[in-house]
Amino acid sequence: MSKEKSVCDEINFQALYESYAQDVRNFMYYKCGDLAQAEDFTQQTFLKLWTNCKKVVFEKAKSFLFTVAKNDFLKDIAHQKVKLRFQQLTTTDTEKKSEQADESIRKKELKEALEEAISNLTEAQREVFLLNRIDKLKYREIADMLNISVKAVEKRMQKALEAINKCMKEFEINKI
Amino acid sequence: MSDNEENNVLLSKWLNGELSQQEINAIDPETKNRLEKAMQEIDTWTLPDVKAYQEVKTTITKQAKVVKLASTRWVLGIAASVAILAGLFFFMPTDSKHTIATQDITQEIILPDGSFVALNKNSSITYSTKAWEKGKRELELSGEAYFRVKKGAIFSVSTEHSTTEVLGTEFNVLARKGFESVTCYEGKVAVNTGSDKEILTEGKGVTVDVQGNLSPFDAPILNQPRWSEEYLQFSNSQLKEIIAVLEANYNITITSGKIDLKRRYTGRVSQTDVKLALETIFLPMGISYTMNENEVILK
Repeated sequence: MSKEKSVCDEINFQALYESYAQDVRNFMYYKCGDLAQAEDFTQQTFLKLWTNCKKVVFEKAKSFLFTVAKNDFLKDIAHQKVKLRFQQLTTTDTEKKSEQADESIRKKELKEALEEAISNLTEAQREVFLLNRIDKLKYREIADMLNISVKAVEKRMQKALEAINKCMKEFEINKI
Repeated sequence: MSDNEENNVLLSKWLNGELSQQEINAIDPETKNRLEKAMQEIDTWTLPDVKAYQEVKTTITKQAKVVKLASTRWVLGIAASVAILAGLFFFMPTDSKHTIATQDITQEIILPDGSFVALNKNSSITYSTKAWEKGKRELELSGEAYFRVKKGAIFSVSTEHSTTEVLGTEFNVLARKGFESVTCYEGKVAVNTGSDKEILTEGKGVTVDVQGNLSPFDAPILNQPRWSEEYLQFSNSQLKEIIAVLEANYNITITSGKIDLKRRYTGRVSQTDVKLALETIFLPMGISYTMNENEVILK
């Protein structure tokens, strides 16, 4: 019988942190729209994992983290309006040079229009959409994480895409 | 399924990488175009990295610190109980009573229930982990702390002269020698001294005197500890109290000699510039002083 990994072993706990802290934080951010709060909650979620380390099987830690994240911290947040903002991966120098000033302004406006459209999605649609686009998760993975069916994930994506399509239409009309 | 809905289903499958080229060609080209543009933009988005493990390690894995508690400034009551604990206190995570104390730095703490405490310099909190496990959220405070309490069972903070109880909110408790105050920033807080009782709501505070009498005051609404701000406001406070707060804030000793410590002062005092702070208080009162490193002598 193989030796079971204990979460109370700091080496294992650290590995869990390094694997999942970013995912948990992002997930919380999509739901609450406050980066500092999401980070605070993420730390507390891991704190909970640590204090319960004896009771959590290593292989189930990921599931524990997301369950705690949802049930303990996010349930208290009123479903308030969020304003999500994202950073941009830096463009290379050659790309930057070839970009005209008005091109970059339009790009910026597009980003803001999309951020707003995404912020206006329902929480359910938003989290699915961002988990797919930002965290690069497949629908199956999202379904497992959120404890819903793949069909449910697809439905939410469809609604999100409808909204994005509408946003793009309006953007194009205004920009011509 | 309508055309539109069918299209939407295709779109969602397309984004998940589930469609063959043939199926992709079946999608309405205008919509596909728009969404491609959108995804091209969105795919460049990212969020800042979370803190590295080493940075959060202390908050998460350590629950208490061993500190030499050799302070003579502390009032006997609390000092005694804490001093005894300090004597017995080794870093044994299985031990029941935990004390977290600061000297020259401020410390942020997350309590076992997830509540947040910002502990000011020269302060300490003590609590029993066993009691907390049972759901009794009680702790003792000496010095100053700002609390952000998670909703739940009653949370109580005891100082030398008062006990503050709260159900889940943000508030600040200041308990230096001879001077105590509680300020509520959010929610509701009940302050009890045995001889007086007051319920505070957002933006209200009370000062506590040694007889346990409460005097209310209005406080500006903040969402961070007031002592992390530049100025500290004194409202008809006795010199005795002001000196205690200054000593703790700046880590200095102030010898007052024959100066009458019952004199009162109202005004704003800097929390970041010690020279300015001393000037602001003593100059208008006509008190001269000398300052040598950390010792201030009033004349």
